[in-house]
Amino acid sequence: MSVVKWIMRPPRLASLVRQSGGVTVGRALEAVPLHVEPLREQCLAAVDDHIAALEALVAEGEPEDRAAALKAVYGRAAGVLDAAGPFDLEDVCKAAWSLCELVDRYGRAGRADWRAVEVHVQALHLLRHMPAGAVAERRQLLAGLGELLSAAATA
Amino acid sequence: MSDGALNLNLIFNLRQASVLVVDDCPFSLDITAQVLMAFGVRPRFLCGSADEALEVAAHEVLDLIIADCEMPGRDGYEMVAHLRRHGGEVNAYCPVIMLSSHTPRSKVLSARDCGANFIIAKPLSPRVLLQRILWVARDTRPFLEAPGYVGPDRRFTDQGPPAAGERRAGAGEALREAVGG
Repeated sequence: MSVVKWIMRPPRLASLVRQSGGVTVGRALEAVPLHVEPLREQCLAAVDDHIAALEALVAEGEPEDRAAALKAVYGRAAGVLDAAGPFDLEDVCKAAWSLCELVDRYGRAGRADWRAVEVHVQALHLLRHMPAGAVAERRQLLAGLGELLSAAATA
Repeated sequence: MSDGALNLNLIFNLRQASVLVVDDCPFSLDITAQVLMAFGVRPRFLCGSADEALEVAAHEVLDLIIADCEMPGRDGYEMVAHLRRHGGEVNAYCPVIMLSSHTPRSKVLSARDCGANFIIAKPLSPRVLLQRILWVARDTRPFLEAPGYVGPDRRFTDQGPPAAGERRAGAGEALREAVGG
């Protein structure tokens, strides 16, 4: 018979957060941009590197080792999400997330449409370089990615 | 216990907390560290791999671990499972918040089953991170030791998870809504 134990162990963190001094939640959140801003350039360069790597991957055409190629695509798209997150690149994040989700669905389905990957990569490039004011175009691009994702879910 | 909503006037103090952050991506590690510093935390240990983090955990008392899910070699899930089994009297029970770039249901389940307290989807939202940190600090769930699982009781019976409205749908949900699919 297996033994299950319940252990009451309040974390030390519980008492630490209540110590005197400290900061309000509002003040802490206000301080975040000041701390993160110095990393902007480095992170945006990383976003561009990941997108360039994705473009190189799809430029090779339909891969022979599809599983390995999809894994590489997933890693790069996740890298875009990591780097773009804190820096107001919301649309780029949405496209990167959509690409991760697409690859994840392909992995579960055991099949993939490489053209949908290519379209996502092109969309990432466009969204990264499109003027911020091109709201309708951005929305249209993202809607197109959504349709590809839906198709991947139902295929 | 509150419903998990963030009160902007709430005062907290994390200055003395011994915090470890592990992420194989250097700038992700930097971003998380900087966000924590804005919260008044001085992250004591910044590690580039799960093995490095476990080495630190073997010798230092930790109050909070923030771990990336996907890392080459031993990943974040394996690291947390190892910590829960072999972390000793203190660190085995250390609150762990996991970060994931993309969070399908499978990853949420992996995080739950390895014994993590929470998983947060990137893009990293400082608000969500702080909310989760304060939540785990107040987490009164007992730890469960069973043959197939060691970690916080996976049932949220007493206090409930953070309020749905504050959950930000882990970014993933928000992004899912944005692109449809």
